[in-house]
Amino acid sequence: MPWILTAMLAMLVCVILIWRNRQYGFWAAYAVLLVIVVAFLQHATDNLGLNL
Amino acid sequence: MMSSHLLSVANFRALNAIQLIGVSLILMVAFYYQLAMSELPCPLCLLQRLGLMGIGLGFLLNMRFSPRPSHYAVSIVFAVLLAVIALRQVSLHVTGTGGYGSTVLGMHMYSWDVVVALIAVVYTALLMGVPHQYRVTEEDTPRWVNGLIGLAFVVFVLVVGANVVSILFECGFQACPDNPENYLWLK
Repeated sequence: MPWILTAMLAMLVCVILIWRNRQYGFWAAYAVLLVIVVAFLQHATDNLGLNL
Repeated sequence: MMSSHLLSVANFRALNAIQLIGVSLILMVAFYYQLAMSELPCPLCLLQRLGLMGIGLGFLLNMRFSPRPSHYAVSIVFAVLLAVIALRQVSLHVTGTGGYGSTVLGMHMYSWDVVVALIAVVYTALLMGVPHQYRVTEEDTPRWVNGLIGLAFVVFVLVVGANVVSILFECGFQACPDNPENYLWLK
């Protein structure tokens, strides 16, 4: 799964959502944060050879 | 009623627009190195760009609506994430591997990201503590503030969109390689 591409697309959607609606945009920001954390953990664990 | 007070809500929205443009400028510098100097971003570099954009999300919320502590919190949380990701890359290269990419003013970009993240945390926390910006007012927003807000949004959305296109060209629909040398879609 290309998590970084997913996170960047989610970021773009979030920016547009914020422009249109405060409440959805605010929570979307935290959803994007979660996707970035997953992408980071996936990258970090791949390089450490860990299977989480 | 139009307010010209220095600490008016409109001025704080304008300040957040300027901060968002600042974040966009940092991302443009990274793009300059990518396009003009052919330095393709590694996965950790891309994650750091995402962290920077996340800092911008809090400013975007303040700018588009009105400043709130919960919006500043978004920026602080993303700044902490940026620091963690950047420190991970610093730890990979700090002992004699030569580093990744060229240096800017004597430091690699991931080292600068640590500095930027720490400054962002402190600056945002201090700015968050100014109570005047949280007033509920009936003030009209001056036209120049609305113009600045529109400009900041357009610049930011273009930078984020350009990064989506860049990742597609660099990695396609696969996981990005650790040490990219060519654009996957331009081979």
